[in-house]
Amino acid sequence: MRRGTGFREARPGTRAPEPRCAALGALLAIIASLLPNSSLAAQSQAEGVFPDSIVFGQSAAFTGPTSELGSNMRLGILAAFEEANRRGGIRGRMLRLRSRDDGYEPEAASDNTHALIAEGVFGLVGAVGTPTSTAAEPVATAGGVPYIGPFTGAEFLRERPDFVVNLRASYFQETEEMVERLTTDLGHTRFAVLYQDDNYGNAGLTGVRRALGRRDMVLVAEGAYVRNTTAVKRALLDIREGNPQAVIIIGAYQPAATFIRWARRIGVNAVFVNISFVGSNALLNELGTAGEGVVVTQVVPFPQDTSVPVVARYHEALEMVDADSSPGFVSLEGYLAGLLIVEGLDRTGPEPTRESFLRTLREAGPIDLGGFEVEYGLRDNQGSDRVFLTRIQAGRFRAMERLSR
Amino acid sequence: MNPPVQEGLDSRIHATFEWILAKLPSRLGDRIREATGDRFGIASQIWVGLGGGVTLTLVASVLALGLMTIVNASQRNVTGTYMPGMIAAFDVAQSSSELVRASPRLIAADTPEDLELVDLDVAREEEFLLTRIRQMTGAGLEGELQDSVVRLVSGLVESIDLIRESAARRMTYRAQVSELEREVLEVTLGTELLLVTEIDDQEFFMETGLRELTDQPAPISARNTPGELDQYRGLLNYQATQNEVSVLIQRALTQDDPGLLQTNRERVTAAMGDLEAALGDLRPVTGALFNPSFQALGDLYSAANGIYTIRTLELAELAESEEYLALNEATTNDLAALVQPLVENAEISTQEAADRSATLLQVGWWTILAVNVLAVLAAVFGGWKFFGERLLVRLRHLSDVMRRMSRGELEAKLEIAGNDEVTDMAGALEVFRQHAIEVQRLNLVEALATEVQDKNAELESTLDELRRTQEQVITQEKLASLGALTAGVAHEIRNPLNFVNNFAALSVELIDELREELGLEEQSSNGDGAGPLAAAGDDELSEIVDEILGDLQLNISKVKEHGDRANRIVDGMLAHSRDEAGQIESIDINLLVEEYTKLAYHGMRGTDATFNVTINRELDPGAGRVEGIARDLSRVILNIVTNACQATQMRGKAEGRGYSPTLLVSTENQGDAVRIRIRDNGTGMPESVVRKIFDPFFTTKSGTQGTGLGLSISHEIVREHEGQLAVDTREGEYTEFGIVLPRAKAR
Repeated sequence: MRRGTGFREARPGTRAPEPRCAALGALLAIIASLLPNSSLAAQSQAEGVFPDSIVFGQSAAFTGPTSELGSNMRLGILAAFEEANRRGGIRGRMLRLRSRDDGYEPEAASDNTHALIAEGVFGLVGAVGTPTSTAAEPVATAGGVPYIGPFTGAEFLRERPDFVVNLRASYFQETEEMVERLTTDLGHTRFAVLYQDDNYGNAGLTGVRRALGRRDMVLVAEGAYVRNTTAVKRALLDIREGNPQAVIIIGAYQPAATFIRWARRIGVNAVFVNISFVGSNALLNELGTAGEGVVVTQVVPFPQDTSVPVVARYHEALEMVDADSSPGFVSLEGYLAGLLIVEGLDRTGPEPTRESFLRTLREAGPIDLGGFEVEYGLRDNQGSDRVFLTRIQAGRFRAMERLSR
Repeated sequence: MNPPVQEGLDSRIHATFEWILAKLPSRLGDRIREATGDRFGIASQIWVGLGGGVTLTLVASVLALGLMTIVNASQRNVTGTYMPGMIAAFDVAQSSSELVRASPRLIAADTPEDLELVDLDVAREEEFLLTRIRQMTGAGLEGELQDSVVRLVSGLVESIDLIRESAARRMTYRAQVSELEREVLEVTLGTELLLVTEIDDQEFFMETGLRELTDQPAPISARNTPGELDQYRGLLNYQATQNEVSVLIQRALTQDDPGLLQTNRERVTAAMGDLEAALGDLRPVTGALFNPSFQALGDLYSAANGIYTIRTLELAELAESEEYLALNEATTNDLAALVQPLVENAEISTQEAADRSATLLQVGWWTILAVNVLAVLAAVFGGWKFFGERLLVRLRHLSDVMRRMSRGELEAKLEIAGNDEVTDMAGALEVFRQHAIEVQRLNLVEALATEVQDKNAELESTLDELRRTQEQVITQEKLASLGALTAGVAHEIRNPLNFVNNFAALSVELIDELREELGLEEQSSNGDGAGPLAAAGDDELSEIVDEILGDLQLNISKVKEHGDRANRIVDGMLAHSRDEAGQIESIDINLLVEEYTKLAYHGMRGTDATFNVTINRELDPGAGRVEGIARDLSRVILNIVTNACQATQMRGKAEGRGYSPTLLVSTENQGDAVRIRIRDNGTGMPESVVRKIFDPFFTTKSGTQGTGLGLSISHEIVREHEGQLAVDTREGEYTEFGIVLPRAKAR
């Protein structure tokens, strides 16, 4: 009924009204809404769950100055997944991981996350970095996709409990531990901060400031550097001005190593304390002999300490995935994240959905991953609160309870 | 019964019918007369009524049809002449405007996906428009106008196609531009990171004199030189200028005004000049570091396939498309202008045609209304007169009479006037009524006869019953008198029998005494006998006397023995005839059976001297005793044995010499009970008799020989002793009665 059949209705430039069509359309819409949704009914399995597999996605840096972190997270997750697959997967479904490189750039992280969700992954795991997570997490949350075990302690991820599942302690907890140890064990009062000039660095900076504030102290100096560069020398000069006893570094391993080398070169005599995100093994490699005495706080147990059951298990699993790799903090964190997924899915019913998986974790109570315990709640999306202390001694990391001169 | 008016009406209708028939041509009239049976029946009446209605309806329909045809013709005149052309032209104009309205979206589309959708829409609108044009050419539009429309539309479609092509080209440019944009970002970001590090290093050097970790610090004279400061400034300048270039290039990416794009080019060229200068200010080593990115940036902007060129091409396409759009707008307006007068013409003609139609329709409406009113009035009048007065009233009367008849009121006489089926029915009903009255009478007589017959049959059966009862009474009476007679006779016999017995006993004593006197006592005869005969020495005589005395003594003892027996029989008879209840006592079964078998046998012999039967006794010595009434049980044995004897007697008579009648009497100890069997090889009994033998008064014996009570009473007696009486027989072979008696009656 594109036009009226009666001549009276016909006027140039006007279109005959189509009330009957509209009414018919509305009626059809109502009927359609009453019919059972056939497309939904046909899709009996949840997103990412296939008859023989469950697929997870990862967007992390596999190139650039933080590539070590992405690669090792992936290695650890794969170790846990393959370990589960070897014993038959999750009720016959193999765990798969699809990784995409974001080069530690937020735009790429956001694009990757969109793409992975479009491909229909069950959840996202092992993202690396705060700025990247700042860009990727809203995408995941908007898509209703679990965002599991990101390699960052940023506070905002602790405030998004709907789909984010944090494994590790927060940056605030790490910086609090640093300041606690430095003030209590060493009696330091003069602190400086080197931070990456983005929200990761700022998160760490805020954490340090708060910890100092609680002790009625202020920073004696602070310096920033641009992400994905090693341009830390201006910041070093600023920090030297403050004559600090300890420099807390909230950065990536390359600039951190550069900073420490140059600081030692120009005679800054301070304790260098790095936050876990720095990537401990990469930092050790970068520093070489200059690393002696550098402290790194960790959020996972010491990777060589096989007396912890989960660490021993991790050694085995890692060996199976990549015989050439050596155990490290990042891949252990990746392994723990993977293990958390395996544990969560095992406890979820035979047909897991994203919702039921998240609900299982929230309602599980304490989950012992083998000497590393995590616990979630309705509003608590951070599994572990533990911070571990390590120091480079004789070219190797040593676990320690307290700092000493 | 019938109202007079109806008769009048009826006759008038018939008169009219006759009149019509008379007026018709004689052959047709005869035909109708033949078909209707020379009368105006209900069928004819209904046909005439319906025919009238149909005729009226037809007339009305023909009138309406005529009017509608006139209206339709007038309407068709309008639509046929003015409408198709106008509608087609208008459709074309409308489609054109749709198409023109859709086309700007081709220009507005930003992504290839958008463009694809819009392009599909436009293609569809275009297709639609072409269809409309084809429709128009077949719609009889005047030639000149049609040519103009076709010409305009062809131009329109052509230019829209050009816009579509242009939009497609523009999209490839856009794709190139976004690729260039990405490259620019990559280059500037890379340079920026490099710059930051370089500046950091330079600043650090100027502060500390260190470039490499292994270097020794340069002295202050070497690091605070104007050259170093220039290098530092140069780096900062290069950074700032590159930022400026980057911003300008970004702007070029979104600039949609060709003039402003031209200006942008000039400014970028200037900025690139500045950047080149800044590059020149840097040390050659550092300059070499940034030269590649500088070159790349310049190429990205101004090379043959650089941002400026591509953007210019894109804007040119845009301008061209917009030109076509403006052209199309004008074409659409022309089309509208062409169509406008057509529409006006059509409106005027339509108005005229509509007015004419309205008038005609009104006339037609009134006409049809009038015809319909007439038809309705005729139908109502006809229905009231014919169905109401003529048919229904008469039928109701008829049915009323029928109902009364069915209730049995046959007195009312029925008369209905007229000459149709109703009258026929009334006549037939009258005949039925007469018949019914007749039938009623006949029924009454028949019922009486049946009643009398039933009564007779009843009386006869009562009479039969009476007779049978009478016979039984007589028989019982006979038996009773026989009993009394027997008692009397027995009593009378008893006295002489007593004499016989007593004197027999006395005679035996007397003989003994005589022997003593004669000295014939054994001891004396053997030894010192001193009797008269012995004394006489006459041994021979005494021997004879002794012998005679012995015989005499033997005879008398026989007399005594049989006298005692006679005495017992008499006792038995007396006991039988006494009518009192017997005493329960312990009875020796074998004795009882033996005695009464014998009695029965002698009883038979008493009536028939030739009667004979071999009696075999198989009496169980251990049969023992039972508690019972001896008088009653003896009667049972007597009855059954007598019957058995009679059966053998009858068979003997029937078969003669070859037959040897045998009777078997046996007893058997069964522990708690005793069984008595009495079997004869007499006539036996047929099945029909066996079933009735225990019924009272049933007998096969003729006349006075039996009462029919023997077995019945026997059965009763055995039952009273809580025993069983059973019979087994085969006709012509044997009969066997079995009596089972318990040792003691359960009390």
